[in-house]
Amino acid sequence: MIRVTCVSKKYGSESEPILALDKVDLTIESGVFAALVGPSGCGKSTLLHLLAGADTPTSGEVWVNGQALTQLSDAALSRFRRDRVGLVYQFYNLLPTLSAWENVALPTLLAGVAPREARARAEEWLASVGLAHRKDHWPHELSGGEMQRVAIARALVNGPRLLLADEPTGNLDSATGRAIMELLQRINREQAVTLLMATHSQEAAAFASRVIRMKDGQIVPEDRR
Amino acid sequence: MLPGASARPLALIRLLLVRPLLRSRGRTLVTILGVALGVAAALAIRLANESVLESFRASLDHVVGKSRLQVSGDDRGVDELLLTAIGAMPGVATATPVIESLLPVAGRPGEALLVLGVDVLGDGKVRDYRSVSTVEDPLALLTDPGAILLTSHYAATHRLATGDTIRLLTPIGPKRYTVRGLLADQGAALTLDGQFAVVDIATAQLDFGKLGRLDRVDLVLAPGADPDQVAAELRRVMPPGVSVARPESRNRQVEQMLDSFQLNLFVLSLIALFVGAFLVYNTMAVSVVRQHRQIGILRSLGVSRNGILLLIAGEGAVIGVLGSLVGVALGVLLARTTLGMVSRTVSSLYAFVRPSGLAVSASTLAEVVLIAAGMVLASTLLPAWEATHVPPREDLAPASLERHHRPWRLLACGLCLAGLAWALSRLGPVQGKPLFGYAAALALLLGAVCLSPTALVGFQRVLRPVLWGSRLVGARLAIGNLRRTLRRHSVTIGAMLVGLAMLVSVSTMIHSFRCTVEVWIAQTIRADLYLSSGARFVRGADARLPNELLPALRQVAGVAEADGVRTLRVPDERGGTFILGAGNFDLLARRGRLLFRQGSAAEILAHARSHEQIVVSEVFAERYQVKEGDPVTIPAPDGPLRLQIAGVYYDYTTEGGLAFMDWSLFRQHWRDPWLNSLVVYLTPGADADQIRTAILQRFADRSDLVVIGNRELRHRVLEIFDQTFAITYGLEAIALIVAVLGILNTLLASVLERTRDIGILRSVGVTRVGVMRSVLWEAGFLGVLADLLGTLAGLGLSLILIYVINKQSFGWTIQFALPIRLLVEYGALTIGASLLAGLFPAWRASRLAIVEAVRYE
Repeated sequence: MIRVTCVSKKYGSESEPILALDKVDLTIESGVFAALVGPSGCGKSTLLHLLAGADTPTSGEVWVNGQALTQLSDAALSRFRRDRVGLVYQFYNLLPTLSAWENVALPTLLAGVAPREARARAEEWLASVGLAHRKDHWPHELSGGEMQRVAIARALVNGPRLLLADEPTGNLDSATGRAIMELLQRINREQAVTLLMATHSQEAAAFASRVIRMKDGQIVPEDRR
Repeated sequence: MLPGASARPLALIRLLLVRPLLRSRGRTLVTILGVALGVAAALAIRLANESVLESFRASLDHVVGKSRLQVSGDDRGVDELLLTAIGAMPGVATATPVIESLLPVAGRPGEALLVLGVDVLGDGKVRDYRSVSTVEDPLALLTDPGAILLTSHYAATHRLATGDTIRLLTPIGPKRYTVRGLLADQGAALTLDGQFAVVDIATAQLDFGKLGRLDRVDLVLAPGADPDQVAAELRRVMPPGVSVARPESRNRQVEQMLDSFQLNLFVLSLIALFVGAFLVYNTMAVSVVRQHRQIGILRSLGVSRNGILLLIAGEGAVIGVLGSLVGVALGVLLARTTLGMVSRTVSSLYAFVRPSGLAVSASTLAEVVLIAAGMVLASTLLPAWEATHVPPREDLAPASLERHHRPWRLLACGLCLAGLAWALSRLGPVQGKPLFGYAAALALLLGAVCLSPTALVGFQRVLRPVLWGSRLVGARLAIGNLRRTLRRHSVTIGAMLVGLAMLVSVSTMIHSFRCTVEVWIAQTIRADLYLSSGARFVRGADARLPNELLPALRQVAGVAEADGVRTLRVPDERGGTFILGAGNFDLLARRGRLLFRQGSAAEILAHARSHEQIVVSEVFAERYQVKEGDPVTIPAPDGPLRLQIAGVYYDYTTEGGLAFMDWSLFRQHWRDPWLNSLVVYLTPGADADQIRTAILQRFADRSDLVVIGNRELRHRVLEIFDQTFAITYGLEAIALIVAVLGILNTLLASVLERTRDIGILRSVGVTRVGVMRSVLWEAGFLGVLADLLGTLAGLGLSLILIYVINKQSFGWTIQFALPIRLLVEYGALTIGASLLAGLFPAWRASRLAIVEAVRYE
């Protein structure tokens, strides 16, 4: 379960602070597929970064699956990112020096799994996102949709209970975007992974079971389906 | 640690460390080559220095044999009558007489034999000799005054056999010797790589002008005798001027003599390594900027800060280790060339040396590799530390690191370092070594590097408005990019600046030194002709001439005045030696132009002559910390002389200092019938060439006599000067090549990173040639700025070299002179090299396919 209490995040200097998040309170139950929607600059990505342990709030508390992220050291946050959360980005962020399966295997190797086992798991995940035939290809040899599938496989390979996706279809055509959304929806259902997705796209948001709207760094009253 | 690294380090190292290095093979190879060249230069000099010293040590050890003490005097040796008394001393088992002379071989310029005059029947008790051929008539060595034993190595090299003859230049003139036997290549025969010969002591006394004298007596001690006790007892009974020492003290003298020369050469050789380390810093810093996004991704996947630190430091370590390995191989190869150059320089400046080969010791290799590893590690740590501050997010473009770059902080840091350099340069030497001078040079260099970002900003601000008003599209794009990638370009300029500054500073120092010597030569070499033995051209060779030549010389028609100069190497009170000279002060006052630090030469010389005082060279004054008016102690045959210094003069010909007295004073205390050279002043209108011929005809029996004209002597002095510094230029060239590799590296990285930008430029209509021009403009700007900054820093550094390091190492005063022509040449070279380094990246940029480039991630 995700719980965010009275979280604020300021950027910039003391004299001219930019308030990215303003006393946000939010709770998301385990296993939910939630969409975070709102205009650019409303604080969606900032909230995702805080939940991923990639950034720290200026004030307030962030809890993920019973763990208070604000109390974790840098090393503990690194372990948290490695084992407990998966991240999917708009621009895929695959390492260009690694092939598709190597990109997917990397988090497993970082967790200390034997290379043979890591490769087996990576290939299994690539197969489950429909890319078994592209496992030895380099990122620059893949299409946008394929790169995003590799990124999703990488995010899930260590079996996290939380998947965070920042505009996962933002860089894809509508048909490919729809395919990615169907994949994410299937993962949410089959793996019982909590999924929080930031998006501009109403079409993408329609796949979610809960839509959370943001504006000017705050959560606005939401619809529940 | 990398999470999981302890469990599965190899797979992660392969994926995250080796893969990126292989991916950017070109840049990795360039960096490895840079480190390798630096290591090679440092190692080559270190090995050459070691080999020269080892050769000295080995030669002395072979000649020393079993002797544990040596009794010797100054250049004139000891009285042979002392031999019996020494042999009778308690604790002495054997006392053997030795005359040792380095004699040039007639007709073979630069070649000499170390000839040992010994008691051929008794010397086997001290030294190890084995003959390969039976000596036909053993008594012939005693009875034939022309008998000589050569080493079989020398004989084989020169196709000589028993019964053949060899001509040597002795102090009494050229003499032909008959080879009576060959020594096996072991023991004493290994001295000077076999350039060694033995004659009977009586022959040596006669031929080497040492009748009744011995150079030294070698002592083998009785079993159980304490060398210190025997030495103390001997010192008690020996007359003044005779010294008793262990043979190894001669090793120490040689090492002391070469100390400053070798230290300076080694420090110079480290420059290439220093520039190489900068190249590593450049590569790693650029790598961190380039991989900013990847580092962010790795952090978001759970790699800790320490994991990132290890990754980046590991990349540097791989480059350092590979560079060092290649460098060691290159260094050993290069050392074979530098050994020849170093031994030639040492032979022409200090003492005759013939290293038998390269002495490669594990400790020397380890020392250089450790220095390289330290420099590479230090240069990797800062970029690695910066990399740990990349947040675990993906949305930071490389430019964000550029945005956080603060040139003004570095400006303050640079100014502080410049101030520190000034303060350090004011401090004196430590045990005769200019350690603070080196530290000042390093502080100045680092200070200049810190100033480069500010200079780059200033350069860009000045040029930008000018270029934006022009039609030079490529230049406009390039100047904009300079500012955008300030940090990376600053590092490149820093590396180039260091290489160039060192080149400029050393060249300015050498140029200033040469100009000073030229002026000094023009003022002091005033005689029309100079006479000396041909042996003079081998350093350390016995090049005496009998003073009976002088009256005959004065009678040659056209000679207005002639006189001689005698120089002796004498021991000082610190266990070292200096040169004592004697000459005609009256003639010097009237005709010569000695340059004194204070006062007029004529007055000082006249005063010294009438008041029995001496004049000393500047190097002598610096070395013994004495000045005008101070008393000094000179060891004379009849006891130490306490003499006052009348004046201190500039002299650039002798190492270790020279004390000079008038003949009248010298002859009171030394009964020495020899001269080292003679000077001749001609009558007005006389033709120097004709008189030279007349002199050579007059002394036809002395075919070893060399008569040199004024202009020729000046030329020869400068020739030796240039030869001495040849190796220095070689080292600087290596440093500059390493710096140019830095530009190549940066531009390659710049093109790779700007692939997308270049694609966009192409898509809006910039031609391939336009893209090439832009990259070349950028390379040109880097070259111009590096040249400007490098030249300024180099000139600052040259002041430290001239007035601090050189002065404290050698004691010479050098007048600063600007090498304008060289500076222009270096400028052209730097900018040309930059453009050349930019060619490949420019070509690569121009070949990028637009669609590929635009989608490039």
